[in-house]
Amino acid sequence: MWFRAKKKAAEIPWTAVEQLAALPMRNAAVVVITDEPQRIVLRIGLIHGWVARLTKPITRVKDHNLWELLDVDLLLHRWSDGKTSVEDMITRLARDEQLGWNESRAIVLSYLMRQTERGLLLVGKPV
Amino acid sequence: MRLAWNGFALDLPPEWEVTAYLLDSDNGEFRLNRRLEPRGQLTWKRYRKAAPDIARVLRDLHVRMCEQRLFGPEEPLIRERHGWSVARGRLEVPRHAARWFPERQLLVHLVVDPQASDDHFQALLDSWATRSDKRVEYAIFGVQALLPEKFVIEHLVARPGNVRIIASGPKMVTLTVRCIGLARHFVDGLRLEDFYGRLLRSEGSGVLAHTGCTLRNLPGATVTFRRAGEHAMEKVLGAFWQGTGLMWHDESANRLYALEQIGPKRAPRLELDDVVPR
Repeated sequence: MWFRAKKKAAEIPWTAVEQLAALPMRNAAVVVITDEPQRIVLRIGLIHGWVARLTKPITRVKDHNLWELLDVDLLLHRWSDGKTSVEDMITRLARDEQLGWNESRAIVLSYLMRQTERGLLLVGKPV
Repeated sequence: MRLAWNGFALDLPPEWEVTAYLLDSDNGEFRLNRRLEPRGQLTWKRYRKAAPDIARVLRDLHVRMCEQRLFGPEEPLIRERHGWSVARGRLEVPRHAARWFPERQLLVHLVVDPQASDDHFQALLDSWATRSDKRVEYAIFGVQALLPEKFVIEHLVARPGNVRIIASGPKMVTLTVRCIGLARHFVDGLRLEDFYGRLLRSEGSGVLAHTGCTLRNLPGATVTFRRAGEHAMEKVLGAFWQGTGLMWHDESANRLYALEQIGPKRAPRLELDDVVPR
């Protein structure tokens, strides 16, 4: 039948970050910094509930050619107060910027990923 | 949100988004989510010889979906609605519908999760649209373009808040349509033409001139840029092609839209109003 035909895997628009959707979100207290990209993704997948307080000032990011022109990190930093949950950050960004929820989620999660890579995100408060 | 590809278009219910896509014109799909919850799947398959027996396809698929959910096989009730054949069975099994799209010889199949409301399912079916002129509509992630049939989509670059469709047309013209989110932050304290120039430079183009203007009664910018030729002798000789870009800021939608065209000197370009609907 036509629907049994072998097909290529579908592409995911928001790339690696979207893979977090498949991970169980659990409480985590410590984020371990590692050089292996896959492990960083897994560690961030464990953050749930409260966004950790940042300990160092944020520098500009250069891993996204549009974000070089705009400090998205500073935009999100206002919610990294240790009180706002990840889901609230996503919902607020989507609402304020008229973005799709999954689009907003990709921006927030990659922000968290970058903070972890830089060692800025140290301790997440367990729920 | 409008979703158009391969000659047909649908309007997605509020909050539904495409979370995976396969844009193969013969055998492709869109996966649809509301936040993290799967909502459905839209697939298409080309039949080059003859139209398939749609009722049989629906019945077979329905039986498979029942089996996957550990229910006994059941015969679905199949009805016609606005050109779709709609299959329904027990409530726990996804609703699904298929239709034949003869102009492209495609069987289009829509599966909607049982958790989605029936209104959304019906609205999706009723929103089906095709064009009778010689143009094809493309709309995904907020970017929208109407292109002549001769244009071929080369890439869809989908990043959060930054989406572009790149198409190639006759006589080696390459056309890019963009939609950029977070717009008010991009243009905050920066002239739109400066932002556009920086964006094109960051993608490897040389900016020759840029100026502010009004496009569609909105703040806009035009940029003339150049890029190394990508075909035949231009590539060998290292010649440059000149392109033009138009960008405008829709403040109510909080989006920047842009259209760029580049190619050999004498190749004809398309008009903005023909490519990007108002």
